[in-house]
Amino acid sequence: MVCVKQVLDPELPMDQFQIHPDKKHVFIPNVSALTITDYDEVAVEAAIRIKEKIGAKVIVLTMGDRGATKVLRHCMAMGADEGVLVSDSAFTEEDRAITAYVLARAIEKIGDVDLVLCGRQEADWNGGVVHYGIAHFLGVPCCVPVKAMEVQDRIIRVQRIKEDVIEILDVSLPCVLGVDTEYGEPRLPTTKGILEASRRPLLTWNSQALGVEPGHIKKNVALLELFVPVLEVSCEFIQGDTVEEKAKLLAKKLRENLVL
Amino acid sequence: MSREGRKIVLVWGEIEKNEIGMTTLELLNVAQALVRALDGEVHVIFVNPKTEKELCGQAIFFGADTVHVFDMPGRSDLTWETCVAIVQNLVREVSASILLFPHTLTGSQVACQVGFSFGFPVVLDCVQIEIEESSGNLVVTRPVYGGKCYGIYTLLSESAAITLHPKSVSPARKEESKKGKVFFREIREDILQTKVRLVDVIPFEFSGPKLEDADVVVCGGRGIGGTEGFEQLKELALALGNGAVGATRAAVNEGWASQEKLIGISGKTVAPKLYIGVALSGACQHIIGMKGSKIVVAVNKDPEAPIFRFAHYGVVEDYKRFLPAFLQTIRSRPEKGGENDGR
Repeated sequence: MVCVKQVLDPELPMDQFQIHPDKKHVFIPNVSALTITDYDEVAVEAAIRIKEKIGAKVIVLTMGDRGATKVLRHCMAMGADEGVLVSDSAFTEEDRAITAYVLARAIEKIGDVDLVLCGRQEADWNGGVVHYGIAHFLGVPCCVPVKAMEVQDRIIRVQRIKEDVIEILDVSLPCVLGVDTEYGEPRLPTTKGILEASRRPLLTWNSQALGVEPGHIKKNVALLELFVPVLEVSCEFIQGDTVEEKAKLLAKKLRENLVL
Repeated sequence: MSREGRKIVLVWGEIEKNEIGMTTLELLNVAQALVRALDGEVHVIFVNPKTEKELCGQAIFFGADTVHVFDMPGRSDLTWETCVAIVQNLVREVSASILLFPHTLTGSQVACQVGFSFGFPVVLDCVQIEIEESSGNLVVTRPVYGGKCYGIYTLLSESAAITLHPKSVSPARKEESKKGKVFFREIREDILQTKVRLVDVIPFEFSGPKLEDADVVVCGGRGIGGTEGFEQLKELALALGNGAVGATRAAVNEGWASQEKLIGISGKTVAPKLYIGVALSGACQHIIGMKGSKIVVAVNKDPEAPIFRFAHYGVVEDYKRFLPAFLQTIRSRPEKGGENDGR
């Protein structure tokens, strides 16, 4: 089971990045600017490697509207077996607890899920809380960020990156893991994979299908507004005809600032 | 433990190098402002501090009304799951409603799990945490879209679990005349959680000072091109006086530098006196981790690289040509700017 998310391409240049006049959304130029969160793509890779090694069914789950099916198809082309889209205008992204609750209900509906993999955090709202929320609502442990994993009998042995150490942990299954990009490179979909993925159906569930009533969980977090910070400074370009001249001038400037 | 009806702000305390940690001092500064607005009290919790536990009591001089030190002598393998259980018990016991954690791995993990278990809103990585005067609501500011912009959020609840981005606020000031209570308590066997078991801890190979503490940081990006380039950065960092080397996400993903060198939204936050960014573009995800630096120098052969917008000094040059010349210049002045800099 892998939870993924479609986001505005983080590589999109700053001059194409615009906040919507309502100050609550970011302007999305077109669907092709939407892509899968890089961490999530690695989570899909991890799931496929488990499937290849010990056999497993890989289901990709996402909540969203625009760009969501594109992301699911991409994961299926990589090698995931099924794609599930949870979509309803009642689902808000402001309070990540609600997102987590809805995803947890979808995972329960799928049933018998042994391992839930997510990226360590999303590339847009940077909540970094959804995996913990899913784990809470499922009542299972959660471990983030994970750079390596090996499924053993009823546990999974993981390497977790902590500030200055790597911890080796045994986590009992089922559990939720947040995968870091250090895990490894995600594979590129093959042409055959893309073709096959485009023919397979996607499951789409709304709030009714999940039995989630509006107001089931209270919205506790409300976005007031977005703003772009002004932290640019004026840069003095070091001029010189040779690198040596530039090096000397930079050293002089740094000495003037007492940092050299 | 608290007077009836007073709001309790609970701060996750950490000890670093036998002192109250910098992140804890920053949180205490925020906590003091919150309790002033709410008429509340500040509690601090330390779990298994790696120090003389009496030292934790010093949190009182920095604004804590009550300090709780939970200790289990001889056990260094407590997982965050156990920390979660200890904090949950304390939150119930003292009726804490605002929980403040540093935005470290353990901090966010415990914040999320404890927060969700009480149905509190959970918001991570805030750079500002305030009480809105008119409504009494908590209002927080946090980076979104990888730091391209910030979101201001109102929390529609009297309770919350929040993590604070390191180095976003100044640390609390010390006042030795302050009074408060300290409770030393043992961690009970029956609270130990077993769903996650710590098997082993592998330290990263270390050389030089810690990134977060270094006065000089030299950081490399995608344009460095390989591990040899990073050796050059290390040489420069050492020549500049015990500096540390950092890396962008792109360089870490390439395997040229290890994860603990990562500066940015999913790595460390640095605020050195001198930051030199070499062959890196200056993606927002990185800028957010270094924008507190005093002097920023950028070296990049592309004059259009966004990093120049955040740099005080820019050098448009191939680093492979520029760094050797720069190293030579620094080394030829071993007196280190001695004659007229007035230090």
